[in-house]
Amino acid sequence: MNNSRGGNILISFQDVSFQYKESDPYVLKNINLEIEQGEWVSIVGHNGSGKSTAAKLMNGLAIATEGEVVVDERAVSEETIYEIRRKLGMVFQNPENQFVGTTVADDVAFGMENLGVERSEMEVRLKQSLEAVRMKGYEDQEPHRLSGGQKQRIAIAGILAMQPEVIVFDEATTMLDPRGKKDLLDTIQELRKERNLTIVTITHDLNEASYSDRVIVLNQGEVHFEGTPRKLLEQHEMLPLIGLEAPFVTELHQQIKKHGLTITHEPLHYKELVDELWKLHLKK
Amino acid sequence: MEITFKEVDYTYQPNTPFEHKALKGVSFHIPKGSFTAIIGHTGSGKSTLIQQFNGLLRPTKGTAKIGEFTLSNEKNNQIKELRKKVGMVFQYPEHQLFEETVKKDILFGPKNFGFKMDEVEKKLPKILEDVGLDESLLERSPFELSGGQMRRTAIAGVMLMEPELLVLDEPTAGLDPYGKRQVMELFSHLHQKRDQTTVLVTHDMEDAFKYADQIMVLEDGKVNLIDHPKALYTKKEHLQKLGLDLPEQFHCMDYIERQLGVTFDEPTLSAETIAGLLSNQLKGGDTQ
Repeated sequence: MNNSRGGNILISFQDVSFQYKESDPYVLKNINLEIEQGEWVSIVGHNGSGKSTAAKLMNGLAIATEGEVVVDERAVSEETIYEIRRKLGMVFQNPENQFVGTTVADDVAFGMENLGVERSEMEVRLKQSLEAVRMKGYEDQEPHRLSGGQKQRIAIAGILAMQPEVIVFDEATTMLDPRGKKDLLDTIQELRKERNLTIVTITHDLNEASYSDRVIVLNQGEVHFEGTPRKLLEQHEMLPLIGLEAPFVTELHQQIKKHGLTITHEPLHYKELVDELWKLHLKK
Repeated sequence: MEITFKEVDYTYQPNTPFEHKALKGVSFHIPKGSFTAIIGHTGSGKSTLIQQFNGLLRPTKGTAKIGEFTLSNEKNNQIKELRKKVGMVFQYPEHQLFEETVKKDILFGPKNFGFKMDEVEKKLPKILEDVGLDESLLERSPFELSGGQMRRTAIAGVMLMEPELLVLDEPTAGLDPYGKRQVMELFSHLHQKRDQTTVLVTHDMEDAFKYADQIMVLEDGKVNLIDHPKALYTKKEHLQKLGLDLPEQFHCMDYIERQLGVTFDEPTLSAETIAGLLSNQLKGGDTQ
């Protein structure tokens, strides 16, 4: 399936609405969105905006009340969830809750065992996956002795070993300390480059979202904005209204404009801003 | 409540193969009425340290004085009295809610510690106002509340006991930026208007800089640094070597200093101040 831009659509939401119980209000209302193969998309929104529900609908942890979620040309339903979960791996918020094995190696191998991967192939994939997340040498460690960031990377290795098309990170950095956060984001960037994976990150951190190709903002269960991170920051006035905070660089840019200094485009990072200013405005 | 630690060691599972020394000769002083931020990465000993503040753990060696209470290796039978005066808000406090109604949950702590309940109930409306919870929620189940409301419920229960020392262990973990700011403003407000000592354990250097009047860095079970929050900027190389992150504003100031050869007099979190200096420098109005 291709979209109008010619890209290969991997995930689509077609008029999707969702409520947990019939008597409850709708968490998602009439959502339409498309994610292309190889793309990195962030879904952002405040707590309760429906962003985590959107993630759950992608791997069948929740099934759309109305409309259809399609992953790699298969509609997500009770019948297709196992097939879909092979293609779409998910890393959750709490690193403590996603371990089954007593050693790192057991844990990474668990998913492959379920898929019936042959022993020799399993060993190859185990090695490659741990290398990909920079956790080689930790095979015999007990998962509970690792730091939060290391645990999240082991969770990713377990998913990589199943050779998925897409990985969804549902607020996977929220519980990590700054060092763990940075390591995890670096890992995601590397994986994307080396394996041509499709990445979906669910977050409320706009600094984190600025790593992605495209941002989808949800507010009260509806798509409020869709576009590049730069475009989103250009429209920073709306952010506080939907429970989000403009990153520091955007604030600094606004203040700089008040001094009559301008640059060519909305900056994503303070280095970009300072370098541009320096080039354009420094009087020798 | 003033806190003084003298040469405190804490060892988990001593004399076993799993023996682990989490605190090593820790000495420091936290003055009464101060707001101290404790910083350090995972495994530095922060949690072990704050658990001594209300006697959940006792020093293996050395002494810890919390107000008029002295904790050491010897059993102390005043622990319950200590706990009445020390309020602890742990990470994800909403996970500790369990009662049928919000009211019962808020009152559980005071009741358990034997407070006079008629007096406590009189204070309830005031506390609800302080933490920003509507009275209409009192008869609801805590599990029907939003995440932010659940956290406020847990905080109300602690505040109702009017602690002399309030210990906050990453109280904003998992909240979105708006919720985070609200919770920190709440604690800052409570700190200022009550005669209270506050200890905040955090990874967030911005919060440490903004709210604390003293910072303490733990590293490998030892006090690495105890200083004014400005040290977060002036000692940034040292802190980065420890793997601690700085506020983004500080990284930016540092970058400007290096690129444009300016020096900031004071560290700041204000984009307005940074923009002013940057503009001044670019326009050549300042001859530094």
